[in-house]
Amino acid sequence: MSSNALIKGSLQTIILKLLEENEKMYGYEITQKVKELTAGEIKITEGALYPALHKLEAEGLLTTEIQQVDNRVRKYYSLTKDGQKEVSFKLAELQSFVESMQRIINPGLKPELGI
Amino acid sequence: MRQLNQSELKEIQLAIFHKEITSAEVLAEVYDHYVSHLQGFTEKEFASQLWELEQKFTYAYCHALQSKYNKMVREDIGKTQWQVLRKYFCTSRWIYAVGILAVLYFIANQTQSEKEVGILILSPLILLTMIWFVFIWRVAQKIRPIKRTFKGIAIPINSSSATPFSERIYLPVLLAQVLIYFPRLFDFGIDFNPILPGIAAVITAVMTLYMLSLLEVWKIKSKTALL
Repeated sequence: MSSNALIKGSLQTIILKLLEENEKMYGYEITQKVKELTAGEIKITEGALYPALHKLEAEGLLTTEIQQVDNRVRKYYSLTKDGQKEVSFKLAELQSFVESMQRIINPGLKPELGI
Repeated sequence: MRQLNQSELKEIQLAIFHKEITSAEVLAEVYDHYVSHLQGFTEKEFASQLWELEQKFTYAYCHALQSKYNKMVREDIGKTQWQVLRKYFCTSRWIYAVGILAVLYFIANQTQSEKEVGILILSPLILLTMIWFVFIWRVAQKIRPIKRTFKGIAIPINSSSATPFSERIYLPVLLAQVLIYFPRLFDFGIDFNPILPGIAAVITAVMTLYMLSLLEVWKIKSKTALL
């Protein structure tokens, strides 16, 4: 399983990317989707998820919608216009970071190969 | 995925009740997380899974989450109102602001007696009070499903957005009190009577714009928050 510190640094990017693909999601659904996509390799803890969702909401990148589901209230998150713009920026940033890390780990790899 | 029975739901509610969460938004989110998670397990696994959730959603964690959420909502309402107020003075909406000021200037010129000045200042305050009553009723309607879930629990549940919004409704009423009573406490030796209608018009204009901006914030936020 990946280290929590590594996940924490990319949590916002993960949330934004998932919401870009799924239109709207609720907290628990996000944790399950990440677990499913990574075959349990990455587990988002609740302790990190909700503060991250609230932070993205405060930054205006996410908007919320309250819905009644099975006699309880569910809060759905979706991307705002600013959030949609931010996804590509965050993904490019992460991609560049991963490439840089690969160059450090494998100095023999040529950057022009785009590995 | 299975439907939880009444005693299981009661157990979840009791576990969450011990966390003393008062924010309707946080409460709903935590409750939904618990129920969604536990629906994926059998009746036999229920107790152990609930215990696991309890280790994650501790009292301290829930209160930190609630406190940060309340702070965020407060800042967001303030920021939104400021954006709305700034919009009134944008080129596209300047006619709107000028229109209100012109009407008030006309009224101020017609205002002669102290009683008329009082009515002029009081009118937006009366409207604000009426807005407050409607607001309280609307919030109660919106958080009713959450309150119903946690029925019988002696913790006051309220929308995180309601308190900062209510405070913004009280603010002009308190300021008006200060403006009315402060000059009476001290004798400044200035005769305010000739400029009183003008001062009243300015105060009314500011309060009217403030009230309209607050209504617009309510309209914007009611789409996404429990307002």
